[in-house]
Amino acid sequence: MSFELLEKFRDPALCRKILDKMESELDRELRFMEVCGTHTVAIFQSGLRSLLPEKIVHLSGPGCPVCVTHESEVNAFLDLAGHENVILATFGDLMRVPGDKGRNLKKAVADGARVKVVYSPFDTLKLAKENPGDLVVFIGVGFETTAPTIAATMKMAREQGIDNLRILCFHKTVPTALDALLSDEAINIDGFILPGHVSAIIGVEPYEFIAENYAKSAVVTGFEPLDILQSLNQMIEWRNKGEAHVANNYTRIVGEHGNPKALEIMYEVFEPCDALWRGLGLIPGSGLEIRPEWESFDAKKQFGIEIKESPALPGCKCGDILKGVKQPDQCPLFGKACTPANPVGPCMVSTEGSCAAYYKYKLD
Amino acid sequence: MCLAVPAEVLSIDADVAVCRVDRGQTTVKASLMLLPAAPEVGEFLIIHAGFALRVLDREEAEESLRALNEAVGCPLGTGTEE
Repeated sequence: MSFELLEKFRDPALCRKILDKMESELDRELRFMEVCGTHTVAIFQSGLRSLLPEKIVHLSGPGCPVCVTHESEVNAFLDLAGHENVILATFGDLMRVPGDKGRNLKKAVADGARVKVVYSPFDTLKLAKENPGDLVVFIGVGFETTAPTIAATMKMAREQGIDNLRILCFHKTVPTALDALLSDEAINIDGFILPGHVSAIIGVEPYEFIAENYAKSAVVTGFEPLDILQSLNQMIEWRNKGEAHVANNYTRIVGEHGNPKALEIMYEVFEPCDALWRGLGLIPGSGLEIRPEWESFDAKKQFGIEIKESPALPGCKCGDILKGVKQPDQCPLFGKACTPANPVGPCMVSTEGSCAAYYKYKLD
Repeated sequence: MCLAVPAEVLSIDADVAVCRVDRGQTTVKASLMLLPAAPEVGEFLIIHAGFALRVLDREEAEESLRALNEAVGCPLGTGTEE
């Protein structure tokens, strides 16, 4: 293996050939949604967005962990930030996500809250050891890519006898969200670019309902330009033949059955539950919660946190954007009241959010 | 949140790999706890939040490049020569 081999997935001349092929074969509009926030950034960063045929309509889906974290979940961790003897540990993405009354974690820090940004949930073990008189609470957001890393951290904490680590568990699962999107008749999507790293964990089979139940196509896809173009090309070919398929176009990383060891650890610690998604509402069975055997880690139980429906931020259209019903520049706040410097909604906060990517690459 | 760039394994010690990101000097540590089998030095890993999730499969990478070239009707390698 070499970096040279990987760079072949960026070959400009081959990209051009596939683009030309797509242009010649696309006689109708194709509305595709990429689910993963990293794909959102890749599509803009590589310039693909401006190179794609005009008949291709690109939508960003609910695959940015920060963007789908529900308002009430944000309020829950902001409330916890002011709690005595609590050190919040979080990925940096969550620091500026706004809750109600303009609150966010950065402001909480200014007000004296102890918040530690970590690169890995693994880092919370050291933090907990160094602060034995405090509770270290890690904010667990993200999908099947992140959940196993937190499950593994909990197992290590138990093995090492660390008893002051808690997890505020807001994990969500991707296939159930796609099912909810497809069952909404107001949402018009022809095909999905499926997330590469979530799929590295869960494999391909959990997506097969997309073709079987909804007659739509979906391709597990890598993050290089050729990965994305080839997946779109396949979906155009299938559509022209009147077919729908679910395929794996990222076989160098994604096995048919995913990563069984990571799945085993994830489901040893977590079990499915209903979850609230920003913009999508309550989706039955789309979340992960801590199993009773592991409840000593459960911050929700310890602090009596309940997650319930709450009003969306006034004027913010992140919900419609996550469903592919609106594009970012169709939000009245976009680029005016809501910018990367002063984000109103989560799609503008996260670097993987569709509004932030749209703002950075389309307006600059 | 997803780091999409594969990282090259430089060394392994006690179920933790030190990996080089891209060709630069930056290295990251990755727990191998979630991998079904330990990688070898020189292999490439997909890392997320400090944990290796998968080892990159070289044969599959070459096969998908071959399929890509076939899909647009040219033998492997001709894409870059234009």
